[in-house]
Amino acid sequence: MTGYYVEGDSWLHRLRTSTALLSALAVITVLGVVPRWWLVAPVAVALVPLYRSAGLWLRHLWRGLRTILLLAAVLVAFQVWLQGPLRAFEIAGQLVVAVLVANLVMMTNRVTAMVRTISAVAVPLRRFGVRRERAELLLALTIGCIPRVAAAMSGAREAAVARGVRPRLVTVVPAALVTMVREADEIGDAMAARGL
Amino acid sequence: MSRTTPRDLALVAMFAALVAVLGMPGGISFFGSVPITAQTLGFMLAGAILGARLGALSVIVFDLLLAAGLPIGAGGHGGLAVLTGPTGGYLIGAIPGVFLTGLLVQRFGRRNAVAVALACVVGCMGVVYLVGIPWSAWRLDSGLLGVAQSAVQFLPGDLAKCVIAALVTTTVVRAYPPIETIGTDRDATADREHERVDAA
Repeated sequence: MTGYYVEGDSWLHRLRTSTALLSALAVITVLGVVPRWWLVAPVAVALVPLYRSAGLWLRHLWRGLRTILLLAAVLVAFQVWLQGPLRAFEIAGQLVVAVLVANLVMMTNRVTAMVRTISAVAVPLRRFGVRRERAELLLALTIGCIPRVAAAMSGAREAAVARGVRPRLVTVVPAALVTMVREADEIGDAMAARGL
Repeated sequence: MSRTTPRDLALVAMFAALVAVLGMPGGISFFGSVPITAQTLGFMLAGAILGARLGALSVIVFDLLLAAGLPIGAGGHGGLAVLTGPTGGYLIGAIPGVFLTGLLVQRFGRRNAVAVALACVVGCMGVVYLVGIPWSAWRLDSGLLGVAQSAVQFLPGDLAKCVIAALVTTTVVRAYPPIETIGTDRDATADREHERVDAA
């Protein structure tokens, strides 16, 4: 699960993750609220030198682009028909730019740094009894649980096959859920034993 | 509101991970090209089994990890781009949606498949669409496209998943009855765990 990170030492890599994340969110939000060509076009053009300054090449740009290209094409086709070509390119453009901006942040920040930064959302919730260490622990715990759940699912699937039953969601998932709840009991006990 | 125990946190983590695993490529695919995964099934199960508070928390955890860039979105996509994209509203709407499903299930029980299915329809479809459709209408600048997308891409699969979620929930409660009380004050799985430790 390395995600999208691309090794490097550019100014964008060294930029604080919180700064990068907030700037990206700001750009995406502004473009989403005011999707006008005089705003979308300059940002789109600026993306190329930005990617280059992070040591990223066209193929990195393309990696984000190809996930949205089909949607953008369909959207342009519909919106040309509904609201005319300018509006179509404004709407599709801000969507594509949003993907590229978000990907730039992910390519220049490790997932671990992102998780740590994102757990900061817990800080303003402190007065409701949410503690940041717990939020960070919960996020990390979930990442650790993904292989456990995957193993529980494939175990349940293999058990069904071994019994000669066709593995179906309705039979496999309940078996996996029981395993998951039991493992959660054990993890909970282990955490309680460590005073968490 | 009861205190969140370490075991509650572990359950929340497990169900957030379940949503991630169910969304991985190679899940179920109805229309071939459109990646319809069992991800929403994970949301429904989180609400139906963990209840309102812990279920909604597991959705928040999933959304945050997705935003952090883990490729756990439907079809192996990830990152802020998924949350801010046209279908991001469905992932954000899942927070109140799962909360309502959990609330209804806590009220009407986890043994009646019809009640659980209806709780999923009201929460994980009704509320989720209520956020998701206006969101995609905003992102695509067209209410028509927003509605069409939900109707074509999500509606048929989601209805089927409500039924599957209900069947899974009733089966799992029969197979492991203590699950029925997770998230309530009389959480029997915790007690039972202690009995097992005592017996050992």
